[in-house]
Amino acid sequence: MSAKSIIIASGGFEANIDWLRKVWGESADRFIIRGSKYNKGYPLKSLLENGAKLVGSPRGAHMIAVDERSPKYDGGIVTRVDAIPIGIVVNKNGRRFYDEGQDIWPKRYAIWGHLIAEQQDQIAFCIVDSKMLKYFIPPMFDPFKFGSIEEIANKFNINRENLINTIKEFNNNISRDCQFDLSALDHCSTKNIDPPKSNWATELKGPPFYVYPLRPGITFTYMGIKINKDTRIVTNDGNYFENAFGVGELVSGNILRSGYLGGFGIAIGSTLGRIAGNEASKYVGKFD
Amino acid sequence: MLESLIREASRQYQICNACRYCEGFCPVWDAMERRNFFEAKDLKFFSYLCHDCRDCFYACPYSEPHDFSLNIPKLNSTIRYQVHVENSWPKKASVVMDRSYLAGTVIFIIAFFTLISIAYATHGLTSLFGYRSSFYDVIPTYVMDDAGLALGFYILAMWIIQGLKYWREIGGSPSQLFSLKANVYSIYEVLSHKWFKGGGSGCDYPKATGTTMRMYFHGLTFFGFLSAFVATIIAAYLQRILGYMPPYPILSAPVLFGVLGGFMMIIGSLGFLMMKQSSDKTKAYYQMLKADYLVIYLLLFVSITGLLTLALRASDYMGLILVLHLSLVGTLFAVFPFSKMNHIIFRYLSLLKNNTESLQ
Repeated sequence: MSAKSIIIASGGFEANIDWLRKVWGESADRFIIRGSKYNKGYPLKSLLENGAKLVGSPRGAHMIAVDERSPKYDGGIVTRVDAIPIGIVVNKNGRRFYDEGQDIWPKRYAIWGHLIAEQQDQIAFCIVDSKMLKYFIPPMFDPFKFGSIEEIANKFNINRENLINTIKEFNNNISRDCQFDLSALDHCSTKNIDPPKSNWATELKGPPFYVYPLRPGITFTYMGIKINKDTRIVTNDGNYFENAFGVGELVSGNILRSGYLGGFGIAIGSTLGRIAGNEASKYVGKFD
Repeated sequence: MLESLIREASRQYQICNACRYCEGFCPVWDAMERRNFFEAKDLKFFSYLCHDCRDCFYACPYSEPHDFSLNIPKLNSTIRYQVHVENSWPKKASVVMDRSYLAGTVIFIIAFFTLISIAYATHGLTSLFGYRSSFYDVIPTYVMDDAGLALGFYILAMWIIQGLKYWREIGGSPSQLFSLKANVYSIYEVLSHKWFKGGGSGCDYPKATGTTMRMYFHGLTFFGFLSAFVATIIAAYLQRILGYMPPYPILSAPVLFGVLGGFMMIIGSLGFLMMKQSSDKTKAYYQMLKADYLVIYLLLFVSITGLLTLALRASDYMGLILVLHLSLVGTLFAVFPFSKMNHIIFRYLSLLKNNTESLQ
């Protein structure tokens, strides 16, 4: 098949485990791929081999906390766990490792995949109690329910002493002079513990305790190819391909290197797609 | 409701509730979002709040054949069928759903021969095969009026019994049932066919193309039925209160409302049949699909014979066609409170329940 012009909209390489392994090492095996298993990034690879200029870091990715029980591929939005800012999150060592209430959730949910990827065995556990259950969108999977902290440690092979201490320490260091309010940064924070929980910190009053086991869930990778303002693909020698255009998540590295902006994927897909469509048809029109 | 059906339904809704991107298509999603988990009462409530619009199926990345295998339209159709059968009172009346054609045919035959016998006994054989100036020269006034009135009260009584049962089942309280605001809004939703539009994008029924076709056909059938009902009320008023006996002239209120309603119902029910023919059967429960046909055909036949009765009222065939028409009307009314027609009461109560929750 031959064409006068080509628009490439093939996304990143998020479902290519071998490629992810080159970047993340063995821990990539425990990532959950939220989209289609066919997103292998072959066009991206081929473009790079043919002189397209690389942009962004290979570790850049939209990666969130998803339930460990999610399918390996294609679980999509419903595998997300929104309980994190409400409860606490610990690793296998029984320690908290990041401020769960740092900022409003839409600004922070996309950092949790990376955070969990850095933990031992790429797993973490979000713990909440009965009163907290109504404060977040119920995820697809029901939480595990436990009668004691020891039971949690046994079930998930978490360091028991540490877990008991973490919860005790957390509960003993919550400031009392604030009003719990999920609609704002309520400054209900912990004192003197590291890491702090800056907002929405309330005492974890079990039993029962409810636990969501969490894995890094990769939505899409940011590393891609450089484009110019017409969306033409830029080459390593500083020129660009006259008739090859890159759009969508294939080129997200041009804009986003780390972190995330809500709606970003849809926004670049639609705007760059329009530009590329216009430019490509203008280019092809020259042959008439 | 079967335990396995409840489990499967709450599995599907739990996935939906973690996503919530269908909000705006219809009120099912708002009602779902007000809950964190789903019991039988919620599922029964959602099932009738669903207008079988099917937009959610085609919008959803988890629809069959995805591993999560969602099929909310079919699920709701299945639950509606269960609700229908379980709420049938008396229990045996569920035969109208389970074996709709058989039930309809048997009742029709009984009605037809009863009326033939009445005509024969009161006015002789010639009333059926010869010119008569009035319908009452075929079937006596008291039979037509009393039977009609009795059937009317019977439908009302059955609906009250089954409706109250359903209202309790979905967790409605007595005071909510009479909430003025919620009732007014629900009636508005019914009359405007608000939920036949998929929140603006049209419905993916019969095919995944986004259309308001069903809104028009349902509207024609619904308002056509009302028009025919109004014709009957006016005729009763003229006859009983003013003592003005039929037949009424063509340009009189009963005839005009009746003819208008008849034509509307014919177009509406033919539209239903046409859409059903081309619709995707994998999005509905097969028993429900089957049970739908009985009332559509009855509405169609009642309307056709009604118009024929008018057209042939000055001919020798009036008696026979009148008996045929009345037998079909009798059959429709007899199966009415146990048939698909119960969606009128169940769906209204679901809308009411939804409005009592959302208008708080």
